[in-house]
Amino acid sequence: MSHDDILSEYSEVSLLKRGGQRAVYRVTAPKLGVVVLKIGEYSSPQALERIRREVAVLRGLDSPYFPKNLGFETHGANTFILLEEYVPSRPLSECLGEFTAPRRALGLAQHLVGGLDLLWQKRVVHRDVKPDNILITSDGKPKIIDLGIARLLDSESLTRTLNAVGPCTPVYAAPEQLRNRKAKIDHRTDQFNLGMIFVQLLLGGRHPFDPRVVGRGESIVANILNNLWASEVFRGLNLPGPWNRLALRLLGNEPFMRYRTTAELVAGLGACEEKQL
Amino acid sequence: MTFQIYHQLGHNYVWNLDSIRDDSTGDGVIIGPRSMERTKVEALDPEIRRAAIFDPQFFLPDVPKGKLDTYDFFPEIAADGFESDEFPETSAAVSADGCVKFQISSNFRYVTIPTRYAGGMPSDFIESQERLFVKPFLKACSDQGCKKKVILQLVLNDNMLRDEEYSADILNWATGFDAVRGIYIIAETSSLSKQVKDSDFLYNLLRFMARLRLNNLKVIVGYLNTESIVLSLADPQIVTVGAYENTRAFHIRTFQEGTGKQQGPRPRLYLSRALQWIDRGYHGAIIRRYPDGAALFDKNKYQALMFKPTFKWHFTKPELYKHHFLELSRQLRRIAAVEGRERYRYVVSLINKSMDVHKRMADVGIVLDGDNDGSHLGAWLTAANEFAQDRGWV
Repeated sequence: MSHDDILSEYSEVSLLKRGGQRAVYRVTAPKLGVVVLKIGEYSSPQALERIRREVAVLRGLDSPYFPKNLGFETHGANTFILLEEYVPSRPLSECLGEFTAPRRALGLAQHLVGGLDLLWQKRVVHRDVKPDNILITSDGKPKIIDLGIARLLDSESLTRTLNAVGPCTPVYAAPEQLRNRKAKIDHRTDQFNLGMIFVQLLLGGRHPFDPRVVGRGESIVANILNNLWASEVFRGLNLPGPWNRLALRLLGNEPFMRYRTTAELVAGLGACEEKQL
Repeated sequence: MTFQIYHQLGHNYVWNLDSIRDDSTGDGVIIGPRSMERTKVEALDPEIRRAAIFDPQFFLPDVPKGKLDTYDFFPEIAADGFESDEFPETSAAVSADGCVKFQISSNFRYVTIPTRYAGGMPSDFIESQERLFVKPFLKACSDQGCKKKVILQLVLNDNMLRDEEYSADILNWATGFDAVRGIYIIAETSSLSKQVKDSDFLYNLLRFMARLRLNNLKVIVGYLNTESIVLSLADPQIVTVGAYENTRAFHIRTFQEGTGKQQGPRPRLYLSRALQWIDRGYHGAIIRRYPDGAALFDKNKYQALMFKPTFKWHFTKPELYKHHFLELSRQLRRIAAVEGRERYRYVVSLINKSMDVHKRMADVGIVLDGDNDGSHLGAWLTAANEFAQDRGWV
């Protein structure tokens, strides 16, 4: 079944994003009204299983931090569709500048932790927290999208690949993802991803591992692997101590250097709140 | 933070219990079933059990040495024997269930998840510990509605601690369990010297402990000799003292079959100002030659007994160990009363004064051998200084 065949069942179709094996549309569905329609292709039973897991996770969440799943179907031999709640929003990547004030960056981080913790409590790791996957709604609150590569820690791995890099977006990945060290991936991996966004906001939108910001290194990925981030530039912002400690913990090169529990992370964020500029 | 002193129980554990009761030398005990039958543990005063930590000693799951065979949950007993090195998973669940039940019903302070001993740096260390111990024990805790805090035992050797990547892997793993609230570390050095003289070993252990503390985990360090003084710098919750040497240094041979009866050590006395146990055979020379030598021996009721002419010195005499508990616990309590940089300064002052004592002994011609001299103190000081530099204390 072609995309056009599927889309013919909906009206007011507009393409939101196309990437990899997925296309994302805003459509009007006969009974649901305006929704997000994702059409994708899967190449193997494992890939289909991964999508089913994403659906199961989303269906198990009832939170304003995640879009609601409204349907899942397979079409033909290798096509699937996902229907999700449509929320008027912009990806954070398009409005980073609105969150660069410390108070705004902190508030966003607190919301994101609130959302991610719902996943962590279910022993799910998002693995792809990045500005493109955070939608900012009209009230300035985030919605976390795209659990396509989320990992269920208590389930058997779907793949036993020998890839050098694990599933992730490399420039927002934690070192353990870049090294494909699956055994090290847990909620603290998402903390690293979140830490990069938090520090990026405070640096005025500049990526903390960008060689141009750090002043050395060959690439963002190489700097992540070598734990070379713009810590001196960050210190130069003269934020109070708790802010520096929070950044250092979140961007710890090894998971044990980050926060062991969400309660500790929340306390770290809370300490920043008490020491606002 | 302050820390507590626990007695690592072994053979003649009654001495430890007496010392805690009579001399307030400890806040609790770590029970080792190799030396204590199940019925004796069950008969302990409930107050002692309430503060106690039970170390299941599953180090060699197929070797129920000593009194270990009185515990039906010991792996070899629970599995009714197993042929290969591999402890079957079905038995692991049975063993975990029984061991957790015992720890809860005994009302011990924590539930301890045991570990199996791994020499070297096996590639499956984490996978094996998780599959055979952590998962079955956490499941048993959950199934039994355990309300007690859970601690995880780790037996680490100097190679594991030295290798950055291996050590980080263990830390990432051990800090990854929400239900685990503390780590009970046993560190095994390959050296057979009576004191730890390996600065790298001490520094790596301090760093490992500090990383656990960063994660707000309780850190309990077992099988310690007087190096507890240095290890206190990493802010542990509990350090241990022990009587016989096999409770003051962990060596797996203690748990292996057929190690036979070994010749006992010479009787030694702990001199707190020397930070060292010194053979009885040197005492006369110290008293005669060291300026005010008699004053170097800590004065307490046990010292008074031992220095009577009729006292028969032998390594099996309880006074030697009760004296040690009293003097070391006094030192440790003073260390526990200060924190961070102040603790470092205090420990360094103890070491420096002790080095001076050893130098003055050498100056008057007292030539102590390597098990009695101050040759461990340089390593202690180096490790303490290096750790202090990491912490920004110097």
